[in-house]
Amino acid sequence: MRACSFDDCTFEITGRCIQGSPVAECAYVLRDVLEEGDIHEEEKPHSWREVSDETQATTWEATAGQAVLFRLEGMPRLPSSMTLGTEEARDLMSSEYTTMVGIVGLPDSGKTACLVSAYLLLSKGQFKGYSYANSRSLMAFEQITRGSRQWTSGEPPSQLTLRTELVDDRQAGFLHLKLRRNVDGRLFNLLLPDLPGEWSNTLIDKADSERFNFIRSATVIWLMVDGREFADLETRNYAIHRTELLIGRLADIVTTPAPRVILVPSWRDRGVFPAEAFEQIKNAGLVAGINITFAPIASFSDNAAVAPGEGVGDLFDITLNHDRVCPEFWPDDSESKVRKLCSFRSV
Amino acid sequence: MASRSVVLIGGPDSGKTNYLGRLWPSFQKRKGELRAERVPDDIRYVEGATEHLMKGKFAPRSDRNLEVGRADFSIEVRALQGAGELRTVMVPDISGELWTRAVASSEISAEWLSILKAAEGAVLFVRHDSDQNVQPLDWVNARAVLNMFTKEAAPEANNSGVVQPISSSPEETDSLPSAEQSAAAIPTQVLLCELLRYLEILLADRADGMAPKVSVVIAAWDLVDASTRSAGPLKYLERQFPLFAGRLSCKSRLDIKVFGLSIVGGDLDGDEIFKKQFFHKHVSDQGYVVVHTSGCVELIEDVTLPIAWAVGD
Repeated sequence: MRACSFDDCTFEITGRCIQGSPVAECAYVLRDVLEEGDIHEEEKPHSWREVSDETQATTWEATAGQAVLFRLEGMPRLPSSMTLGTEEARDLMSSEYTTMVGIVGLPDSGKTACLVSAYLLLSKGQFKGYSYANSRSLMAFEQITRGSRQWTSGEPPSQLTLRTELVDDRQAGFLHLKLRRNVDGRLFNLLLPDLPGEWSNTLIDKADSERFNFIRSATVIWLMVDGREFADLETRNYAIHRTELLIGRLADIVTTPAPRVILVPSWRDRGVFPAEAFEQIKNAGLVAGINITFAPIASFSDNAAVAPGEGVGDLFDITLNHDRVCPEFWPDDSESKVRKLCSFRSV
Repeated sequence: MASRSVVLIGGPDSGKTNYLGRLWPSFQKRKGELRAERVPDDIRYVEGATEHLMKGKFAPRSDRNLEVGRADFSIEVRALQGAGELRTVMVPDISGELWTRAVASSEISAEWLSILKAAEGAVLFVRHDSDQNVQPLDWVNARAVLNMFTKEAAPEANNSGVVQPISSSPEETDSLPSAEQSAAAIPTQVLLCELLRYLEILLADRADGMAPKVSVVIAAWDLVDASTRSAGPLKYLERQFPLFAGRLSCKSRLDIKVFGLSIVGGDLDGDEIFKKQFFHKHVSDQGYVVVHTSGCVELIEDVTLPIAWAVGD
């Protein structure tokens, strides 16, 4: 149970002080976990009995490589409600109907702000058309909103986590929401990725798409852009160019037919998104085989005329309800005179 | 001790102690749906709370004397006016602050984990208008937090006459919440959702195989505004704690009932007229619960009902 804090000392392995001092006199040997008098002889672990007997110091070789410190008995853990890992997301998707949203966006496009705004709307009971029903990642939402869990500065996670981990830093994973549609009480499960912004950058500039493979399971993709860049004539053309690049990268990832893609300009409070810019982006999408719809949001607002959270409810509504016309179930075939399947019909 | 138990839990200042202080006289007078089997050996905890009530005061949160005899307080009860099965009502030796910390850290002592696992019912408390209730963050504060960590929400200077947002100043960065402060800042509705999730995971199935029962008690119901009172406790939760109300209405393995509770029927702290009337009747004859029954909001003068229902005979 002793270790040495002196640089390069091999005491843990050899049981001898690298400076040749007797162990009892060495100032660097640590005894901070268990003092000899704290435990009875019969309770002492095997390695401790060996170490306590200085005449048998050579038996340290037998314990070389083993843990220096014993694991302390911790408090039992309650199941957390942090970001879901890929395995937990898969479990959810295989047990309940779930809409996975792929969120990709240009830098500073407000991806986190959008999720925070949605959570605030639900917390205040002001979410348009929907109300909160449940979340398997409620504490993750809360901690992201309060800023008490952040990406490790300079070294964000490089992969999606497999299972929820109780660590201090923010994990790359999925946020879960179960929403109730107010008009009919129907419940909708949503999985929203919470990823470092750097991932989108490397997707655009380095085609680093492996980490976005989950998007193939997405029903809807939010293509998030900074609305301010499109409102400003000087920055608009380059913003359109980068968005078109991102659409090209997305087209390489998604399967055919492509999921629905929604262009989500943030900062709605700073100006109206120019229609001609959307036309250009939409046309670029059509060329890539992707149909793009449009849902501007103001996650927050500095503008008294635009309420904070405006458009977020509509974005979720569009996400959960496709605009395709439902085909008629088992239509009458007036042209066919050969076969009739009337007996299988209930009416 | 009966093998089946019901636990009372709640956040800080959620009304657990005053409720027990009010239950005690009902047990002594053998009034109400729930009856105590016998007087527990150590009754200092409830006697301390009852003393406050009988003297026309609510037990203060900070009264450390009440904590004497607090550990492992339990009482054996029978529902159906004493005819039901023997059950144990447990009041964990865990203050509301410790429940908050347990939610923040996802850690709880092994002893109380085993007690929760053995329980087949619970009573979850929240108190109306408590100064310990934490409201959810608003957009202004949330944006300020985001500004500290990311450029995503950082506003640019504008000259369009719109309101300037909160800027990310060094002073604000210095005031980042510590982990301990974050635990204290968990909104009450999030705390309630998490406690309910723990109960859903940990509570045992009832002996008859039915779902464990959880009574949600909104204490200080008499202080709720008249229009919300008439709408009932579910509507109250929808207005005050929308996340928790949504969670309650979502299907789970728990059988949940919501009660509005006034332990003495009025405000001993702020209503002098009521306080004078209060002394003319025995405390066990005062107080009521409000509950939704058959689509109506019903007032019942029996404060033992939340536990009696959770005991579930």
